[in-house]
Amino acid sequence: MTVRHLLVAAAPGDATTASAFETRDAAAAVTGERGEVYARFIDPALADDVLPLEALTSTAPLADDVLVFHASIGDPVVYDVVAARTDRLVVVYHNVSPASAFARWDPTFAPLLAEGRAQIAALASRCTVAITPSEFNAHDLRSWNFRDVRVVPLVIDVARRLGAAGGDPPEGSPASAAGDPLLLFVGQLQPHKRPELLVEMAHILATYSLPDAHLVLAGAHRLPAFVSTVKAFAHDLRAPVTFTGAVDDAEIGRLYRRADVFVTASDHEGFCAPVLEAMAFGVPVVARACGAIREVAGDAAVLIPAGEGPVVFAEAVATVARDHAVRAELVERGRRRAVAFAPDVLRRRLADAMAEVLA
Amino acid sequence: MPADDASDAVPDVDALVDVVRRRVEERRAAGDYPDGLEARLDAHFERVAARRPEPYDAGRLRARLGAVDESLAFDAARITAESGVPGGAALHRAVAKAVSRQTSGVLEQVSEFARAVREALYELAKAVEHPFGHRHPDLLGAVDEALDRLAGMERSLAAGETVDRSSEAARFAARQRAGRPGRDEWLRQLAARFTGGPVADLASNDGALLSVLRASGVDAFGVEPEGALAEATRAAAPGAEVHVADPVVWLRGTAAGSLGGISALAYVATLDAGSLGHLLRGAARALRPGGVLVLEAPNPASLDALLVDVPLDPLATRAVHPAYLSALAAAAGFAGVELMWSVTSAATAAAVPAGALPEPLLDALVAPREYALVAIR
Repeated sequence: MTVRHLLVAAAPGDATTASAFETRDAAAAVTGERGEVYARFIDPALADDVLPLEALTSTAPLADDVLVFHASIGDPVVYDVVAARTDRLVVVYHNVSPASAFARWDPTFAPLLAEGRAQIAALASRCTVAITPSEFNAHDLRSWNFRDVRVVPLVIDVARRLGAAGGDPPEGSPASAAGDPLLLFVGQLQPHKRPELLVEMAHILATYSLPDAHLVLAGAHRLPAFVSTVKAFAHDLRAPVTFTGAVDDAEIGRLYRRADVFVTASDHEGFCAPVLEAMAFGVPVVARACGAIREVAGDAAVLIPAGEGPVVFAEAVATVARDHAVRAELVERGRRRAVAFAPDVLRRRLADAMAEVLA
Repeated sequence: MPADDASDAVPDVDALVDVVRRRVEERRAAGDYPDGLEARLDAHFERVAARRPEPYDAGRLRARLGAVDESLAFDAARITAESGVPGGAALHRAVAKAVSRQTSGVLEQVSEFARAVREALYELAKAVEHPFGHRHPDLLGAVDEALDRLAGMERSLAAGETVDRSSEAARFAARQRAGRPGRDEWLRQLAARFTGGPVADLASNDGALLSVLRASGVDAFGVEPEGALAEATRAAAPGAEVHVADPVVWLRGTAAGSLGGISALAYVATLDAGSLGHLLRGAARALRPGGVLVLEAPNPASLDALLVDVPLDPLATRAVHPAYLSALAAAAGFAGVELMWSVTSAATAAAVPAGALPEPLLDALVAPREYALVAIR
């Protein structure tokens, strides 16, 4: 049996790509054969680790071969390839960002997201087993009539990815930003992540409670129209906000070490790895209770109901920042949560799942 | 980290949101949070979003191309033969029959031209639509890279906020101002505004103001980015402490509420808008309540200042309008913002015969060359 792994785009630091490698390793432990990872779009940094899509289409599968497809975005070419193959199909579903959040900012990209969901749904009848990191995602799969849906959390290896950087931040590093407290958000600045709510929260916090508070929004800017609007909004409010753009893992590690509170106002998360990363770094988390965040954070975060506005969010952040007892309790709960999601624990769960799937 | 609510009891984190909600209600009732705050913020975000240019809707182009397609069916049968004149229709039909060969020939040529135009339009449409529809990672990567570079530049600016200030240029600027009639009195008036120390004289330059401050009994020290000028300051104000540092950056590192006063001569004219904001916010943070800020600058309402003082100061980039500086100070949290003016040019006013110049021009000629913002923290 040969197990092949496919995704639309492979890039370093990307959660779907990291999951593909973890799944490949778990499958290899079962079959004794290191399966290949294929992608249509490959970052040059991964040219030695990932094969092009053409290499997959040129191989005819045998009867007991398995294709593990990591679904996180639409792409008609890749989905046509998946639909045309005859090997057993396992779908690993990472969720697709909601098109409605993008329609206003990028009317060309939004339909691609909607099509992406339709393309995944169309695989239901061909798929033997679907794996996904959260019950929130599993709900999507079941609504599309996927039959065998299993929840296996993402393997987040914080120490391997972010643990290397140490010492004082270099000059110009966002981690050296003034801020007491320093609030940190990690993730791409996309509309469904609601960074504008975080800007409002930071403005309210600095104006009415903690004048030296500062927010760092660390993540790539994929949508210029949206990001420029959020920046203009922050500028108008004179909100204490730094937009870092894309930063490398070492910088993310430094930011987690420096941060006093991790914040996210996201409307839609299929898993939200940064919540677990923050907990692993001992940073208390304040988040809106949306998507899979409640599942991932458990009782180790302050979860603001989705209907509450930025004033309640800001007051919660102020409480966590000022009250040592609350902060200590959240940090302790977070560390326990991070241990529950430790990479060796989750690798065992993934290995067990793959053993069942490939049996 | 602030810790004004610390308690030893194990907190009920699970109930924290309810506690926070109650606290928000209490603060709203006490007037800490203005009514409608969140709605106003949301509405402002919508206004910012509405200002951005809307992307072109490619559907409009396709609709027009569809209209071209529909009108491509050239046919002699579509040429009407109807006529309001009795017998006219028969005449039209007879003429049409007589010239049908020529009509067909013309229609063929027009059709050929129209097909070529249509194909060219479709090619143009493809080229126009391409940037909207092409979602190759390389393109996204290029955009991301450009944005990252911009973010890096913004970070550098935020971290630096320094003025390129050579000692020669600063000495030259100071020499232009020194020795003017009324200058010493003007500096004494500025020094008299301070009620207590310590006073930081930013960009102290040749020490002109610092020496007057200290002679007036004010506990003052200098902050000067150029080492050579820091020495000049020390020479002008013996015994004065002079920090060699960029004033804006130095202010950021100063303990909050640690200063009784801040002064600066002609410094604001050397700063860009962002650094000016940093200066005022830093000053508001560093001054204790009741502390005094005095920022002197060339008066943009004075022709002498605009035509001589600003161009002769190699470090000055612009004359900052007093109304703008006042608004910035108020926004930074200063109360009691007022303006002082240096003496008007009485000699110039006397030299101009009455009625020889329109009043606005005369005003510009005799206007004080400098003004000073005085703000209380």
